[in-house]
Amino acid sequence: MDLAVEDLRHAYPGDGDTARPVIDIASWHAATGSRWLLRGVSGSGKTTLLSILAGLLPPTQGTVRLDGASLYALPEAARDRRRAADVGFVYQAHVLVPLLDALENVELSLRFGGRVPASERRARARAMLEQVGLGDHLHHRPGQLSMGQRQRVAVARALVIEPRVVLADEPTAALDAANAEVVLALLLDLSETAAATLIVASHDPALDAHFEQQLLLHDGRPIERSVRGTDARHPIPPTGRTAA
Amino acid sequence: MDDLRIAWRDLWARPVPTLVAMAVVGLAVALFVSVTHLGEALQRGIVRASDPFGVLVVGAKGDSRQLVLSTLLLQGLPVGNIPEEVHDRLADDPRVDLAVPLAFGDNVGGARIVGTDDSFLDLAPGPDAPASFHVAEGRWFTGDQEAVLGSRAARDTGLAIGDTFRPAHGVEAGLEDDEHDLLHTVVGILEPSSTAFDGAVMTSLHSVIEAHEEEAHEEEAHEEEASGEGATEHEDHAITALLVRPVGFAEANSLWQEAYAGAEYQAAFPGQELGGLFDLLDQARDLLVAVGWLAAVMAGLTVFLAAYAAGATRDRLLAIMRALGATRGTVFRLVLLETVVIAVVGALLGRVIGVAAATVIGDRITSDQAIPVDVTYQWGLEPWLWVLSVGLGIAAGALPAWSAYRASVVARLSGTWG
Repeated sequence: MDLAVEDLRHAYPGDGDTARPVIDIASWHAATGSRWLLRGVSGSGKTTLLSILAGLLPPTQGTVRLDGASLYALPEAARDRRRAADVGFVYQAHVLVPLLDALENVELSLRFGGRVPASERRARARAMLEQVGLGDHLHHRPGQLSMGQRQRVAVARALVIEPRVVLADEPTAALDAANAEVVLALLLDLSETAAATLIVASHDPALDAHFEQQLLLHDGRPIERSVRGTDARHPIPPTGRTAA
Repeated sequence: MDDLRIAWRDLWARPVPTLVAMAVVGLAVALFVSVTHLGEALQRGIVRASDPFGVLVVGAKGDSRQLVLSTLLLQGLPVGNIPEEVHDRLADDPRVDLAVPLAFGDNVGGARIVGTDDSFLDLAPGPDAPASFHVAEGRWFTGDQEAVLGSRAARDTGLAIGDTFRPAHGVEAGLEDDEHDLLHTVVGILEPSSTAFDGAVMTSLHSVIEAHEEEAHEEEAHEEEASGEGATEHEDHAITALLVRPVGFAEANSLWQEAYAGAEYQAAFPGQELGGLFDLLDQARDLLVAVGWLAAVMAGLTVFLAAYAAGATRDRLLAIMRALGATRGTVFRLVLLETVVIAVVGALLGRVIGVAAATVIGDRITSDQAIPVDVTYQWGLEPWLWVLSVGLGIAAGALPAWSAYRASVVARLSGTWG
């Protein structure tokens, strides 16, 4: 899925008119099937940007286009359905439902898109969990899984819908190096298999080597864009309102 | 994963508030169900217990409802006595199809002894209806000091055919200490009739009269001895009541008016008197139903609190569902579903508790009061109970559901997603 933002600004309510926006991006484009790493320190706006891209947080100003269509021109319920059908989201702290076992957590993701019949959901969820190496842990609840296993469940849940965009927010932050490698490899492999656009937000330098395209955010503004293998880093002037 | 399964799992993530809310709903519904079932069964039991008798109850002047209750349901003390001559007169009256004399005053092991005659076996719900009482074992009495036991009296007293007993004074056990000298012999046992007379012992009218006149003679002799006066003339034999089946409705009215105008005895229509009793029962039921509504309001508040204070676990569940693509409407419905599930499960529990309580109390009344209170489930209540429970669940869940509807996903997940 082709993803683009134009003149995007966002400030949280209560910040006041004079408050500096937490997101301020003149334009940015992620082509279908591309892989982007959003870099930046905590508070740089990575999570806010992902929330806006997912259709969860209407921006104060600007446009988000998915395959050329404005996401926020849709009614909220239609955005929800679009998210359910097309967007796989892996959260920072493996946000799983503690009441449900691994299989049910993954199956839950298939409920809202409307594309998978109820009779097939369980089999699809089972196959996905087997793909991430958790075939033996289908009926373990999150509390019975290790941190690495939980994050693999979260990856499975995001990818089981065969999304066209995968958004991941600090997917390796809570993991040791070995587990981080496993989870990252799964994200990269499975999103490639699904031909999904992958956008990962992280401040972990270990991820740099895996992404050809990176966007460095500072106070909500892109200050550097780099495309590995094509040219060097492109610093963006401090105004941030010029083309990124 | 369907919504119901998710709601069920979420509820049991908080077992204590969920169980308490279900229990409170259950108790409120149990109150409705038990009061309704017991009231209905009691009315049916009273009608059934009085159905096999004649249209009119004749007895001493006084409280007409007490006359009917003490005569047909054997409840409380008799109003008084009337001369046996009233029976003779009414039995010969062309307006009367059947006149059955009854004399109370003694008991055996708590079972009331009823003096009567062969006409007792002609009692029936109507002129052409089959007789209400039949001998199951042995035979009907043919002479004095012979007794026929009601089915429950046989069970309660442990007496069997051929056994003998001495009647004790008083219509109930323990009212008086002494026994009569006259020895009675059990000659038969009646089939169950679902009337209070199942708990009674039938004997000849003369047996009861003789026992009491013997006692009266002794008292008079003591008084005469003490006063030094000679013997006085005895008054006419007395009986307690008459069950009168008039030949028609006009004759029934005529007999009632004659009794009303006279000073000797009264006549009472059981239906009319029991109708008044039912009015009293209805008032008591209305009061309990009002208490039930109060309990329902409290139950609603408990369900509301259980839903409103669901806390972080449900907030997280709903936020995750929204992040996965669930609409606001979906989370609204899920919260409502949870409160409806609490109310419906509580109401199902309430039905069981209510019917069980009504059955236990009904059995107790049957055992103690000789009125057959047979509690049967009233399916007619079902639509009303469903409306009540689902309505209560929706009302209690509306505000928490609205709160979930309006919640920001980003804010809810901010603790783990920042």
